[in-house]
Parts: sequence; C-alpha cells; structure tokens
Amino acid sequence: MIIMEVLYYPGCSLRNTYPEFEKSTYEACEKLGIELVEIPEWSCCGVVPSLATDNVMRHLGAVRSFINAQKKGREIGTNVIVVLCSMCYNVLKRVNLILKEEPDTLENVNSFIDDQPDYVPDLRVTHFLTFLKETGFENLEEKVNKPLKGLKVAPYYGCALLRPDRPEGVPIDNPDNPVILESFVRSIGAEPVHFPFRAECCGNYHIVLEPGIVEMRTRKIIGSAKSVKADLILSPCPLCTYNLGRGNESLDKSEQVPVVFFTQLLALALGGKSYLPTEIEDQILKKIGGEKSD
Amino acid sequence: MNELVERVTEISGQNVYSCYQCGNCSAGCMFTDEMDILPHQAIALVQNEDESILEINTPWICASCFVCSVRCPRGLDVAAIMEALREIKIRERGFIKVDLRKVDIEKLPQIAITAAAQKFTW
Repeated sequence: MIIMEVLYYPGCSLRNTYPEFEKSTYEACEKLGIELVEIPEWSCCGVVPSLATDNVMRHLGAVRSFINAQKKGREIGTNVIVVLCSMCYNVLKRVNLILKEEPDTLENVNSFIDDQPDYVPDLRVTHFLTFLKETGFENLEEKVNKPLKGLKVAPYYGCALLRPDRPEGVPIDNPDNPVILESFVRSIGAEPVHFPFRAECCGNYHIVLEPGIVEMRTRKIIGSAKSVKADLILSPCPLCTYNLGRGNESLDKSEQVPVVFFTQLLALALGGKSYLPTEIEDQILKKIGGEKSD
Repeated sequence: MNELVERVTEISGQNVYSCYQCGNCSAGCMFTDEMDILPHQAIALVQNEDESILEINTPWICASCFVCSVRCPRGLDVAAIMEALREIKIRERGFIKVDLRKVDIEKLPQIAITAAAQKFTW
C-alpha cells in the first residue's frame, strides 16, 4: 500500500560504505507506505558546507541534484526531498536556504550550470527523522509490531542535524536541547538514555589527517554512553558511525558500545529485515525477550 | 582596512570587530586541547592585524562542529572565521595541507576523504 511518494536523495555513503542504512530504510518505508523516489542522476553533495561567502563553486553538486529533483518532483507532484545522511542533509538544506535567500547567488549558479534548466528554489529539503515526526511518531507507534522493550538506546545526534543555526531552518530540533531522537526511540518501544555527549562532535574529517583527535573524541562519547548503561548508540550519520567505530576499535571489548543506524532499529521494530550484524540483532532480540511479535 | 582583516571579512562575511572577547566560543570548543591558542584568542589576533595567526594550528584543528557559532552572544559565525583563515592559506600558490594521493583511500570511507578535501584543498 503506497500512500505517499517523496523525492529521495541517497548520497554516496549509503551506496558504498553503509548499504545497511539505505536497505533498512527501504524496508521500513515499505511497511509505512512511503515510496522513496530516487532523484535521477543525483551528484555528490560535497559532504561539508562551504562557509566561504565569496566562492559558490562548492554549492554546485547540491544544485545539480536540485535541478534533477525539480524535474522529477513536477512529474510526481511533490517538492519534498527526503535525506537520510546527516552530512548530506546539512549541505543540501543549507545550500537550498541560501539560494532562497540570496538571489545573486542563485543567478550565479544558474548561469554557471548553463547546460541545464534553471533551479527555481521551491524544493523543501527534509531529514527522514523530521519526515517521520511530521507524519506522526504516534502513527509510527501503531505500526510497530515488535516493540524494542527494555532496550536502552543512547541517541547520538552529532553536529550536522543540529548546527549551525544559520541560515535559519537548518537544525532539525533545538540545538541545545534536542528531543527528536528520544521521541523516535520511544515510538519504537525502546528506552532512550540521556548522556551528556549526545550532541558533541566526533572529530569529523580529522579522521583523515589527525585520527588521534577522532579517537580522543569518540572514546569520550562511547564512555559517556557506557556510563549510563546504554546497550546501543543510535547514529543518524555515516561519518559519525565510522568514527565511533574507530573509537570502539581502540577500546577493550568490555568498554565498547555497538553503533547502529536509527533506520535499522526502525525496520526491526516494524517487523522487517534490519540488516544488522547477526551478533547485534541476536543481542537485541535477547534483550527484548525473543522474537514474539505481540 | 588592513589586508588580513579585509580578507577574513570578505571570505567569512563576518565582522571580526563584533567580538568582545567573552571566550564563550573557547569554553564550548571540544578541540582546545590540541590548539596552539584558543578560538577567541585567534579572533583577537585578527582584530590586532597580527599575521602570525596564519601560522598557528587553531583554524586547522577546528572541526567545523559549529558549537561556537551557535553559542556566540554577538551572533558571529566563528566557524566561518576559522574557515576564512584556512582559505587564506589554501588559496596561496604552492600551499599544500594534505596530499590526497598519499591518503589511504582503501581504508577510509569516501565521506571522510571528500570532507577533508573540501576543507583542506583548493
């Protein structure tokens, strides 16, 4: 049963590094009656937003995807783009807002991309979590047939979903006191545990040149989640997930906390395939008391 | 206007003289252990037209997490100022922060390499 069609921007990480993020999302969307319509010929978003005001070159990847999304959106009658990866969300959201606010920048990029129709900035970029919230976490709760009862989940926001707060509209929740992931965790029957490092930075791109910084950061984040007895860390971001994985590798087995994508728990709670490693899925099922689907 | 101040202003779109040195950015920054000087001290150097700012590591340790930008009581985008200081170096002919040919692309995910390339190369 398809009740809603939306444009969908996958991003590179979901196709290369973490296919389980995308596959579990498709699984969940099928159960929820959401059809993700992939933007044809989408480009890499650039991962990090350029903060230089005098150089719009780094926005071009995002704009090329918007032009293709615009065409497809008109065909299927929607202007909403759903994004899963936090980094892609941040870049696409930011660039779209800048193009709405700055006519000169819009004209500049449109005249540069002269082999394509102009981008008319009427698309709306939405993170999948916001999309779920808007369709109602309570509706989600009704569709959960395997509530993850008793599972302690540490919702880790990272940076890209919450910051920066300019242009207005980038954060998906209050940057200082977000609750959206906690609400999501409750809606799938699990228990969110509060830990002070939930919105701290994992070290971002420093993994390339200064991996020591990332290990220092992620060990603190994992240690903080461990101290509140979290069974799992819930991540919305492929780069955070990778960096937290590197942090886990540098810790003793007893100090580690597994990191999973939020859509993997969603798919599991909806009675679908989670694409979790067997070991982790078994631990979760054991924790919630077997495979009963009541 | 001094050339350093002019370029930081042009690239970041921020008025560095807005900063009144409260240190909130430095208090919230998670990376200060690794920095030569604190973020608000880096801004003070720019205000003082001190070019030595271009040789210290503070802007390069910044991970663009935007905690400083969200918390600045003067509404300054501190992360954008750090980016401007990086950009001034990156735009110098012959300056190389990272040689991407030497990065282990088999081991690292694409998302990390692309992010580093965006921040550290022209």
